[in-house]
Amino acid sequence: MNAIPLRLFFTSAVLFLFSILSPVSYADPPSDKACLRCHGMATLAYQDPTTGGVRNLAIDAKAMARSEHRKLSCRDCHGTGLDDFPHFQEAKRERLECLKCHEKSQAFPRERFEAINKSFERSIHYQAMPETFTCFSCHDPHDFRAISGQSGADLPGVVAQDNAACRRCHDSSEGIRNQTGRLFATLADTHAWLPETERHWGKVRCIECHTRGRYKQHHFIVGKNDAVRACEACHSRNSLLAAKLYRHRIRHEQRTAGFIHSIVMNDAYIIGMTRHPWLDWGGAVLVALTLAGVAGHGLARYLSARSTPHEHHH
Amino acid sequence: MNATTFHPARHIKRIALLLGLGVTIGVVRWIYPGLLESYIGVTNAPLTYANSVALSDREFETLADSLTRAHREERALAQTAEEDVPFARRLKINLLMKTGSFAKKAPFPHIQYFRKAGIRQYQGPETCLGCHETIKVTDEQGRIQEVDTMQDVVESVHFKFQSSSGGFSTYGFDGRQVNGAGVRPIPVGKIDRACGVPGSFTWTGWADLVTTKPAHANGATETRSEGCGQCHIGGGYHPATEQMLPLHNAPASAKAGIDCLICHSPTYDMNERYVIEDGNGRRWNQDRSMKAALTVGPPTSQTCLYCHQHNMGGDLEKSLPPGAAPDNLGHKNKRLLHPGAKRGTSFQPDHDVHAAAGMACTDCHKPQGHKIPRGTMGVDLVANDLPGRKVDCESCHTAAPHVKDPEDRALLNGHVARVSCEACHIKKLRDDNTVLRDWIHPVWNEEEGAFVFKDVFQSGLAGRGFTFLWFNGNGTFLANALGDNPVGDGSYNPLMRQLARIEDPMAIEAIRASAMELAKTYPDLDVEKYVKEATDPLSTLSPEMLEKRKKMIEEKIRPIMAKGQSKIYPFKVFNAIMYEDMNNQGPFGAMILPFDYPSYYEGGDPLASVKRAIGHPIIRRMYQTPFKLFMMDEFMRYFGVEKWQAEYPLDKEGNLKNVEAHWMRQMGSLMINHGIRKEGRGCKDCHAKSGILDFVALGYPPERAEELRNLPELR
Repeated sequence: MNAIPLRLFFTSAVLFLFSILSPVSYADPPSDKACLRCHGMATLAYQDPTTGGVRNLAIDAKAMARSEHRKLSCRDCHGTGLDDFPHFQEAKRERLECLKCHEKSQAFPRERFEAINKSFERSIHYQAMPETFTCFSCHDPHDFRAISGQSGADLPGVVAQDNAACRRCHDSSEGIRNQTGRLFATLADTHAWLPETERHWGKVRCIECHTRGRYKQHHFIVGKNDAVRACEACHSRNSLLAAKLYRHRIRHEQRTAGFIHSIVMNDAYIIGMTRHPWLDWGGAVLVALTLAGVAGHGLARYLSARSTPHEHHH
Repeated sequence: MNATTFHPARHIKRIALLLGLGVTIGVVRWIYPGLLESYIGVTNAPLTYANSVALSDREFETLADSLTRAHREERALAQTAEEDVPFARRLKINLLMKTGSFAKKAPFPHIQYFRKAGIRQYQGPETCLGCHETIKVTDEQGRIQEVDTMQDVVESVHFKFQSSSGGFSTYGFDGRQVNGAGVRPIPVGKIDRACGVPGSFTWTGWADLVTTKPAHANGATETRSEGCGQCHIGGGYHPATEQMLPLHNAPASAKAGIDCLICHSPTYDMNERYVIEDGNGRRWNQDRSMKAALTVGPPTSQTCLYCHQHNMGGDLEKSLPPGAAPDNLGHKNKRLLHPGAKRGTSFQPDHDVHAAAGMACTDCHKPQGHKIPRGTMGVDLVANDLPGRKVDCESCHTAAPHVKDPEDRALLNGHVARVSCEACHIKKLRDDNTVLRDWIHPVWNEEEGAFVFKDVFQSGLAGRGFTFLWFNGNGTFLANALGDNPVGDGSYNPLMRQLARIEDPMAIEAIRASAMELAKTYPDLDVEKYVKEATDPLSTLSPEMLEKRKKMIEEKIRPIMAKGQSKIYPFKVFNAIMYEDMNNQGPFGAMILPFDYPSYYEGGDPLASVKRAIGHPIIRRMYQTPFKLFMMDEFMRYFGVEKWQAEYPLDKEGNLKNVEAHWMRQMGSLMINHGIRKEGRGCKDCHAKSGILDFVALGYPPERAEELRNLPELR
């Protein structure tokens, strides 16, 4: 669907890196190329004196070319104050909001953003840091890809992408301290109770457990007291993952493989979705039959041995 | 068949087996070392040191008191440095010297330890091991292990000078990683690597006495010390050769000769470091006085610099702190100084920001027991104790190190992806940084009264004394930095360009001037030919060799250049003209032949000096089958030569065979990481028409190079 523009964008990004650049005239609005002259540097960043954290200013042109916003140019979002170099003061003043752009979008109606905003405002992040925590604290609009836009095949990619957003801050004590001024225990410590911790983190998103409720509440991030801790919340027939992580995949599979196949043949292992009562019963019956067979055989031998007369040795 | 029947045959077999085993162990343990010693022509004998004397209790206390007072005075001097009026300062010092709390701090805990233990004589490792038989070592995972101290020292690169295992970031010109996976490991390191800086190597230039005729002596002679052993912690008559040979370890006498104090004592007297000669041969004296022993502690920058001054600021660096090696050449047989700095990167407060901050070497090179990390990157063939352990700027300074100027900081940090910290923060090397060294035309040095090599070109400037190369952490067998431009057009080829040619007009002029100066002493010298070969060493390769070189670079070296993430680093460049064994020539150079120091310095006849050096037993052995099979074949394959032609280059009449003088076919590039300036370079140092970076040579497409020289932001 998006193959052609994507390729075009990608090509232009590559062209930027390798091609001739005519000198940038600052009288004209700068092109993406001009912005990427600096912001294309992979290590463009500085240590924020107020937080001590590193503010990354680099744009990965390749990631941008894959993102939801791939069709946009820099100037579509960023204002005119940034035409001249340097512009760190102007950039600091700039206040961008998702809703400003998405007000009139057909593809993404305002109501949905408002719903997101509502649940976001109940989240632990917003509650703790209403001034500083914004959409951009987690979502980098330059490489953001919505889960619905990605086919079911790339779940690990989705998980990695979404968890990276959390881990950007939560992976190190400094990450959180930079935001909150407080020191927290490390993820490994707080999740020590969770069996197969790393495997869970690779297969499911943090927000599966750390959001309240089910569908459409993905932005209501909750802390450890309210997070899901019960294994069976996911590992059951009625897994909450079906409403969260697997929602789009199930829809995708139903579309491509048909309803029955998607239920019976899906490749989820362990989660609970493959659990079928008939198979359970069948297994139990098999075990019972085997035990009965062994017991019957033993009994028969015992009985036949008793009926045979004993021989005596000299 | 009865099991209890006596079977003599079976018993005899068992006894014979046991006997055989016993004999083998005996041979390996007692007979083999002796045989090996005589084979490689080395001597081991118990070592004695005249300055290791027992003190009386009274002498001990007097010494302890004077050391403590001297240390207190030093602190008082430092504390009163701000006081401008000399008289007031003296009064303040006197006050501090009498102040109880100031005096209380016991600077040297070993005074008390020795006092209690009744130790009144320092006898080398024996004394240290009395308490420190084992030490606790924390490894990278934070695990604490107790290790045998002597074994830990003997296995360190500081003692053995080589490594027979992996961990080299060096690749042979045949494309194989030195001692890498699937390669039969051989011992490589300083011990067996001839080099153009010292002109010799440890085996043939260990401990020499040179008779000089300095101008100031009015015809009288002076005896001077010279040799690689001056910077080695082993005290014997030769380097730790035994340890690199199979089934052998450092002999007991070598272990007893280890100089613990040269690293561990801030009051070590470098004047005790000179060559002595006894019935068994020549060796280096060391300071085993109680004065040195009582101040023992962890190494300080000063103790490291006793040796490493040579490859940092160089032997001729001025205004060094008291006690520095170049200012304390020996109570007798004074050590010869080496003009021409190896790197010219000083680690003194006025040259290096970290030295100015009072940092110790071990703050970055954090030791693990007696193993000292030198980082994960390296171009030269120097063994690495801890190849996995990083020594880098980022560990302390983060990936976004520029913090001050809000206008520039982000952009400067943006450069970190492509440009190393050193590229901007080492702006200049010392002026006496050697680029080209001529060993075959010695010149008379009036002051020293000896014939010395001629440094044909010295410079500390960017583009002359050092250049900029892409570097991914790997180097070739002959110390050429490897890496590639990640956004280049494939044209980056330092082995055919930057390192194989000197193009700077001023450098060429300086080389021509040196050649003309040499021509005064050597009338046969063809100045233009000399300049050509020095600045374009590839011109001496045959067309076939040149083709082979290009092919090897493309096939064997390019894949290693493409590894990892390359950045632009500064590299000190160096080349030397020496005699080479042309039977073992490849497209990148031939086996260098070492010089014998005394005959070189005294007679000024480099050929006679080479003949003498290759007469050394171990060089003869190198040209024989066991050494060929043991290591030389592998060594030469790394060198870019198919195999070791074990044809001894000296015939029966004592004439050299197939020996020619050549510059190495490309310059070596030495990593420079010290002499760090607080203020880095400005934008226009590079982004200008005549900037210090040659963007085209660095492999940028011509248009991009033009743009980089002419940034719109800087107009």
